[in-house]
Amino acid sequence: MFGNLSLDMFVMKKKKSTYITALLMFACALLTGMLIRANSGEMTFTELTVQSSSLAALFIGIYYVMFLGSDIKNGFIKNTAGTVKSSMVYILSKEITLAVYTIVGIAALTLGSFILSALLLDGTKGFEAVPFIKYLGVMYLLLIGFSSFITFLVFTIRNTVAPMVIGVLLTSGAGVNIIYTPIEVLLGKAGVNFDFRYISCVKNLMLLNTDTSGKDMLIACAVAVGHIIVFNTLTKLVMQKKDIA
Amino acid sequence: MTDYILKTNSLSKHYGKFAANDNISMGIKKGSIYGLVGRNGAGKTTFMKMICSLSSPTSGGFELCGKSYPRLENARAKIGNLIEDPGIYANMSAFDNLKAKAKLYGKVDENKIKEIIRIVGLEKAGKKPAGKFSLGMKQRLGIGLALVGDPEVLVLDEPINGLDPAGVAEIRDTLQKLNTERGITILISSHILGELSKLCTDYGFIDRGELIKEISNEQLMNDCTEYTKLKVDDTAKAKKVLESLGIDSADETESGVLRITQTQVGTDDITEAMVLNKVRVYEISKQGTDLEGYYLNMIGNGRES
Repeated sequence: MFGNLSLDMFVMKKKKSTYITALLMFACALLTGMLIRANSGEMTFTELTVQSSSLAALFIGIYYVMFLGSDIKNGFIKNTAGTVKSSMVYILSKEITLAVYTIVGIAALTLGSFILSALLLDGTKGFEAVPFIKYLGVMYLLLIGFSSFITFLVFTIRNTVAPMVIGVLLTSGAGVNIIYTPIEVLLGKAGVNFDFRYISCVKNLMLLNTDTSGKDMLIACAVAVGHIIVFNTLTKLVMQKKDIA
Repeated sequence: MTDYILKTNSLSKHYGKFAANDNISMGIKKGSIYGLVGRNGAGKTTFMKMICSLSSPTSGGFELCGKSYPRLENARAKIGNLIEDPGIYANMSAFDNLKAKAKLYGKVDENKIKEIIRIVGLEKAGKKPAGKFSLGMKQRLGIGLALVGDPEVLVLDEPINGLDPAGVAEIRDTLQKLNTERGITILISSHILGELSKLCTDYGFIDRGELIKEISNEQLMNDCTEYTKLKVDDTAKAKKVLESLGIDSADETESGVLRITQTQVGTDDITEAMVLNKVRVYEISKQGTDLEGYYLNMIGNGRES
């Protein structure tokens, strides 16, 4: 496991997309803040971070696909996947590497929000640390859950195009609005009260806020953990059944 | 007792009803260079992928370095492979590609990486991204990646594709050195049968997913050596006639057929002697072939699919 992690971290450091995505995550807050400022709006640091997070999720979702798909696309997987004792080692190494990167991404986003709010908005006026940290923690877990889903897509479909399209649709909100909401409405009309919040990391991410109730935050955490367990297990099964290369 | 580093037992890979590999039972001796010969689509790559744990067998199994599939444990790490196109990070240099793979095995020894670069002839590549390499350079890097981790077995699928004649000769010398100096067992496939014949100690012929024949290089040389084929009605009498001509080694390979390896006496003289001694000659001809001819004869003059 240590060997795989060392390799994946090394590869991540060598990719240009690693730094570009971190920069884009940083820039999310700046872009969002400038738009608000242009409309003469006011927003606190916390609100700016929350508002920017959906755009940040889009960028990091794209990075997940690129990172996970690169070994398959360039064939390097042939050099490594056959040497590990278990495919779960290979999968977990990728997941842990992305988990580390997600921390970097969230840190970049938070830093961007902080700088912009200090320069152009009301700074950290009204900032409450505990709800903000809780928010970041749940957001982090949801992004990791989402990365597990993307891992499953990439290793099942074996290319980056379809997972990229699905990832972009979901994180941009289009997927949620085009797919989830109509299904929920239709089910509602049939008398079934179903909310995709109970199975979708992305929907939880869109609804997440610093004043989200404790119960809803717990649901979000459960959905994220469920994603991590279910999709990593499914990915392992796919790797066992399908040819690796 | 022969020491096999790899033994397969009825190894099969089916995709639906299509049998890419069917009941392959074979063995590769430790320290040998085993050539896998077969036309396009014969099943060579499929077989190599199973050995390298890149594909799961449908049935059957194999033993690698004393461990049985699927419980190969550390044996998996003893194989280095180059299957189809080399898998490389295009944005990284040759050194960084090798370093990336070296990290998989724990501590990175930069001197060993430089040694591998030297072995595969990529010293001049420098910091050039691997994506800008020529096909031959990429193949060399692929071989280099297979060498990371000090493997005991190298599995090389068409490793000399894209190399110029000088490059082919260099890689051949490199593989021979790795085999003789480091004792690395090599499983290699190539369409360039002439090159295989200069390298291999053993061969496996595969066609339509099945292993048709295994043969050592000595046996192959023997089978390919020029000889006279003589088909007569009385082999015992024919042998006495041949002895009178100074030919004392004539083997009966099948009923009524003699194989004469001493070729100093021409076919005309042999025929004349037979006729004079009232031995009926049905056929007399010079035979002998190279690996390519041997292979084509075996599969029945097949064209590449």
